Parts: sequence; structure tokens; C-alpha cells
Amino acid sequence: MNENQIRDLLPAYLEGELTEKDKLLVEEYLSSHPIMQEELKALRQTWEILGELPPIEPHSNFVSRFWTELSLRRSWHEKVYESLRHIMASGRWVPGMVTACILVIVGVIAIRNYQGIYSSDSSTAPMAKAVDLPQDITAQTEQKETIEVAVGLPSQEPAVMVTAAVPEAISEDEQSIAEAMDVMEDMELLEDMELVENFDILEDIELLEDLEYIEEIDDAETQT
Amino acid sequence: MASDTLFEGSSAYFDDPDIQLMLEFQQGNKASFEKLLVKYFPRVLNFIYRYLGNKEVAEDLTQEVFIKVFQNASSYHPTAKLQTWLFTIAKNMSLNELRRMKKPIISMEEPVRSGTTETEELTRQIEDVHAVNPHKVMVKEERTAVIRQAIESLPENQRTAVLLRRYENFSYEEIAQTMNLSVEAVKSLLNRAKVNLKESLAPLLKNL
Repeated sequence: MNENQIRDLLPAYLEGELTEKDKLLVEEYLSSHPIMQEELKALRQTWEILGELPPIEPHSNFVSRFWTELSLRRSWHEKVYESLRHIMASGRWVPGMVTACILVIVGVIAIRNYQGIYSSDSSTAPMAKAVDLPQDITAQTEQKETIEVAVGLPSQEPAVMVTAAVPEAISEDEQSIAEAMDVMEDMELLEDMELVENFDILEDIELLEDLEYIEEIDDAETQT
Repeated sequence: MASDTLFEGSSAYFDDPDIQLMLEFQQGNKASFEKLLVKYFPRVLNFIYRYLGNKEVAEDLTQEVFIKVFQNASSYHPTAKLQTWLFTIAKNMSLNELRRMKKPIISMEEPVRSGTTETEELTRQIEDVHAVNPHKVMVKEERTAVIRQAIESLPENQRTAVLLRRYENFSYEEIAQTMNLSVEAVKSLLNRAKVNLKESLAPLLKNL
């Protein structure tokens, strides 16, 4: 082995990383070469001098600063997820679930009570709007009612008053539906009225035509 | 305790207490993470400080390292010692910061040459001082500055290998895992680094 090869092996020799064979070769060379011994000594001292570099100390509250910085960077859903995960992992989810269920039940009861209170404060008058019907149909229904009463039939509520009996506890949704139904029934009634009127008109027309026909026949007979 | 068959080839590391703490943290135990934080924060801080030479930057980056560890804990697999993973993150962050700071660094292939580095200039200044007061003992701060400069003059890979070997007592295998190199490559790096440091620290060797 030559001088350069030995020199290249010196760092590994210092580390104790050489094979037994190479270690013996280096030591044999060193024993007869003082200059190489000085190089080995310099390498050893270099490695030791590095230890003179003093360490620095972290900030005294680096732990709390870390948690603070971490907290600032986490999104809200990460924080919620982390909290839930911590609760589940720690086994404390059972009382939490029980508490949550109790709160839900209490909330439902409170909402239902609130709805009940709200509904009881409302007017008990019929919620359906009265529809202005033509006078004729009103008169007809009253007449019909009178007849039914006269013959002992159970009087029926007039069509316009179908929504008179309204339960006290009714929600706004039900009220809206009832109003809509009233309007639809009124519309159907109007359509029926129109049909009746048209039918009456048709009957009148036919009657008139019949009358004209009768007159024509009479005239014809008179002439004859 | 995590299953030994969970990660292929990693059962040997489950005896590592640091890995146990990390696994506990993965299960939601933040106290375990804090133990790791207290243990490794000073070490990572000094590694980065010696790498970059700036204390404030080192503190910020050290915090970033542990924030990254915290946020990526779920992806940690114990295929090596925890400190290997930790210092890999620290090394990468330090390297990125070094390149960002655009410090003049010597390439991996270019050796330290006499008369071309700041160390050589500092050496000449020291010799001038000795010419005026040959018996003057160099003050500790000056020696520290020379040592720090010698380390900073090393190429990136040599610097990393020296810091992990000399100050963190990493084995060759651990250094190889941290730097993603073979063991032989690490030995070669360290050998060249020692030769370079011997030249850089020659003024201090004369005073011994």
C-alpha cells in the first residue's frame, strides 16, 4: 500500500471501521512514518475540536409556543375532529352521548310546547276566507236548507261554510291548506253555477225555439 | 400496542420507546407527542442551527419540523427509528432554507481549496493577530467562529453527515437512512469531510 492509500484509510481507522487486515497495514505503516502519524493526530484533534461548538438552548416556553402556533394553523373542522377523536379515544363518549340525547329530547319537548302555546293564542274564528258568492246561489242554498228543515232532513252546512268548524289547535300549514281547499271548493262551485246557468240558458233557448215552432204550427193551422 | 405484523420488516423497531410514544400519539394521546417534543426539540434545534448558522431561523424551522410531524403523524410507519424520520424532515427543511437563503455553498464535487474560502481569509486574519501577539491565546468566541465557519464551508452532504455523526451520534446505517444513501457512500462522505475540516481548522490545530 502506498502513502496516498494509507492517508485515505486514516479517517476510517480512527472510526474503527477498517477490516483487521487493513488495520494492520495502517498500523505497520504508521510505525515507520512519523509524518503520517502527525496527520493521524491532526484528524483526531479535528474531530475533537468540533465538540467545542457550544449548543444553544431553546426558548424557555418552547412547548407552549408550539401548541399556540399549532392552534393558530388548524382549521375549525380539524379542531372539532380532533376534539371528537380525543373524546372517543378517552372513552368519555358515553356520558357525552347521554348528555346529547337528553338535550335533544328536552329540545323536542320545548319546541312542541312552544308550538302548542302559539297555537292556543290564535283566533278560534273560522280561518277560511269567506268567498263572495253570487246572490243567487246563496239564496238557493238557504232555500235548500229551509226545505230540508221543513221535511225533517238534517240541515246541512251551506257550501260556503264548509270550513266553519275548525279545530282550535291548528298549525299555520294546516290553515293555509284549509284556505286553499276552500278556494278550490268555491271555484268548483262557481264552475257548477256556470254550468247550471248555461244549462238554464240552453233550456230557455230550446223553450223559445219550441215556442216559435208551436207558433209556426198554429199559424200554419190558422191559415189552413 | 400496535401489531407486529402491521408493517412489514418493522417489528424490530417496536421496542423503541420513541416509536411507542408516536404510536400512542397516533391513537390520540397528545401527552405522548409532548414527551417527544420535549426530548427532541433541543436536538433538532441545534442540528438546524449548526447547519444554517442562524439561531432565529433555526427556532422557526424547528417549530415547523414538529408541526409537520404533528400533522403527518397518521402517515408515520415505524420502518426506522423515530429520530431517523425526525432528522430526515429537519435535514430537508434545512436544505430548502439554505437554498432559499442562497448562501454560497460549495458543490458536492468541488473540494475545499486553499485561498478561495472565507475560512482561509479568517485564517490569514488570525495569523496576522499572532504576528502582533504570538503568545496570545485565541479567545473562545473566535475558536467557536472558526469551527462554525469550517462546518458551513462543507458541501451539503458532507455537512449533514458530519453533524449527524459528530453531534447526534448516528450510526452509519442511520445516517444512510436519513440521507437516503448507502453505508459506503456515508463512510466516503465522512472521510472527505474530515480531510476538509482538517484543512479548515488548521489554525486551531496549531494552537493545541
